[in-house]
Amino acid sequence: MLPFVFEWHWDIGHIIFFGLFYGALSAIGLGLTIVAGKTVWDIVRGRDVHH
Amino acid sequence: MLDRIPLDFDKALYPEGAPRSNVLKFSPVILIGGVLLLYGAVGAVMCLYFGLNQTGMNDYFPFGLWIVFDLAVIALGAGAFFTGFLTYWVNQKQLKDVINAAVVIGFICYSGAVAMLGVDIGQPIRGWFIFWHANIHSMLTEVSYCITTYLVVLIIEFLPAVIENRQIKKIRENRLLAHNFHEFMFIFAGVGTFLSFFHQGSLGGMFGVLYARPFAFREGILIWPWTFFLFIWSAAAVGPAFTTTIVSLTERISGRKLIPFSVKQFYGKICGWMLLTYMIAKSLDTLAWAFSTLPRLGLTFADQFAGGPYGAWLIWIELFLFGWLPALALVNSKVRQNEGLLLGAMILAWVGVIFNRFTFIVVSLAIPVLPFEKFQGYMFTWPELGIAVGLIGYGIIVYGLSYRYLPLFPREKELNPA
Amino acid sequence: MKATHDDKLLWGMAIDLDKCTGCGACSVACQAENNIGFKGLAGWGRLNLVADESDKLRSITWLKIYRIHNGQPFPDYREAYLPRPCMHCDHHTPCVSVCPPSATTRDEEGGIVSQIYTRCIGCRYCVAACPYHARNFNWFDQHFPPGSENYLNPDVSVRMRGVVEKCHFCHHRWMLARQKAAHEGQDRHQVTYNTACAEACPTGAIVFGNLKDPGSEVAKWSKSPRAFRLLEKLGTQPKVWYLTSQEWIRQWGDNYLESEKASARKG
Repeated sequence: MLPFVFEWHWDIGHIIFFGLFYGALSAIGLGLTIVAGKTVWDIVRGRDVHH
Repeated sequence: MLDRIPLDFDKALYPEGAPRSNVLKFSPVILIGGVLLLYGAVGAVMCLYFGLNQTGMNDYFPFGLWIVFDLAVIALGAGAFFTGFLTYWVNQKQLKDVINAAVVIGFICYSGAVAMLGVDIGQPIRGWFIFWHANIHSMLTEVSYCITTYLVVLIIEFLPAVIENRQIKKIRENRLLAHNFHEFMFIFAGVGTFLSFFHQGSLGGMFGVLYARPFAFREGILIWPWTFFLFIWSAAAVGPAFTTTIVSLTERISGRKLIPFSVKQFYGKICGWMLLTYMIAKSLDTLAWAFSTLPRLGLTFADQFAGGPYGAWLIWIELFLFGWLPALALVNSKVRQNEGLLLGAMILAWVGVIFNRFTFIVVSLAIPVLPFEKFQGYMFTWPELGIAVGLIGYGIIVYGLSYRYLPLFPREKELNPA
Repeated sequence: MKATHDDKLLWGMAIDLDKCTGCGACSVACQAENNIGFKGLAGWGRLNLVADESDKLRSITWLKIYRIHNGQPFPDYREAYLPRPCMHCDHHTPCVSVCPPSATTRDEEGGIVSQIYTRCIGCRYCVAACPYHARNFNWFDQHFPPGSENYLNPDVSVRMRGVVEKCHFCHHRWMLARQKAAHEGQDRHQVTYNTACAEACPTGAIVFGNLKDPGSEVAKWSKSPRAFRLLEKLGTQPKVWYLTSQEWIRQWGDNYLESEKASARKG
């Protein structure tokens, strides 16, 4: 899973597999960060939404 | 004293403008779900404490009911990713009427499957080894990574519906959070589509790569056997069909219209065309397997169905009754105009996918490869059945509570004028 | 995963079915050497219910002996015994390629397909992948009747329930031979050893050794015109060879289309 684990090799298989996996995790993290950040920004700016 | 407690004491939690039946009328949902879940808990405790010998599996049937269930529910839960993809990336805004329900169903399917897998493996505490010591060449590694990550995505997609519960959204901060989740939901829907593509495919790939088990083995392209693509396609085709079935069932039980009929028709059209193209590919694949792959390994199509109850009728039924028939029906707009026929065809479609998963798992294992090995039979035991049934009970409770308290259906109020 | 790269060492086995009497000594020796126990009393033992050891579908037997026959009526009826260890498939080993936590691997040196019990999570994907049914899953905890623990082999770990196990060509004996060679100042890459089953066979039907050593018995046997491998067509490249002078046994070794059977049959 991580480069220091025994099975890890810097071969094309690992690079593609973990590249995509960490890419997906990063996208999720980025999305959550954006949502959290914008929400805090909206709260600070006194915005509101009504449903 | 009990008669002083009103039967709608939880009405503060109902979505706005959406009446719900009283607690007494709703209680069977929780009771039935609870009984099934309890049965599941008993089965799980027995299997975890006494060992997997409590099941009907053996060295000739290392996979059984649970794996069939896992693959089936994950295929049926594909409505979540596919609806998300169509809504946020193909701009099919009418699907916003149904996406919350699709996400809840997806969440139930995936969380249930992961829980079931926790009991299925012989050493559940070591489950994390798949991630830590990953063999990237194994399809099951790919499945595990993607399913777990996708479950996280589903939780994120489910959150806004929970936050928008009438009481929770009274707080301004919560309203803002839910609003921003909706604004940026396309990110999560996109990641979800990407992850789903891979794990739905790898679930098919798991069996297609078994080059030493001719019944399951398929040729393919690069590292991907054809089953990889067939499984994604079939899951995406029937996921919405399953979602529609559950929503229609909810409408029948609640007596309320929840989504416009046009949305069901749209889903039916998509299901129809995807199923039709899938059937062409699947039929070609079956022919190639029967006339090219098998003979190369010294086997014939008849050989593969020579033992026990698993005859060639399985293939005919899967391809024709549950495949070509609903596909041809659903691409026909006249069929889609009749709600009964539309739903009937959709049910045939998703039952067909369960059939397909069952065949790949159980029949693959039943058919011996060594000529002097015998055909073996498999039947699940009652603790084993309990866990599968427990998943259904869990689903009933989660979905029932979600329907009752969360604004799953944006058009509900409009479709049910007082 | 390509075939084992080592061009000097490839452990393999050859079994002469013309000599095998089906006595079972090989299987028993394997059970004893590798600490294979009986099915533990699965919790229900507390209620005095005993696990059924006659249910062979869940028993652990690394070296299984099949009895095969030619299906002909008397006086043409012929029977033979076929001991089946793990084939240690050399090409794209089916079980190794599918194991998610890398708990099984084919050694680069020697080509033995090994199993790491403490890594195995018990998903049983490898059991499904193996066409030879060489892998056993511990459905039960292993039970050693009181007193029998004195006979356990200290060089072989015992396994708990929930993990897969199989024949590993008595890998521990190789390790012991290497240790002995190192201790005596010999080249530990030149050692040979024998498996428990080959050692126990009273008729000498089983030989084990280095397939890459042209002087070894196993290499010579593997090149015999009587030699064949099970399920050759799958392409697993097993490292266990069988020898037989009887064509009907060879026919049982793989799947053949009717047209192939007709041309393969000699008279």
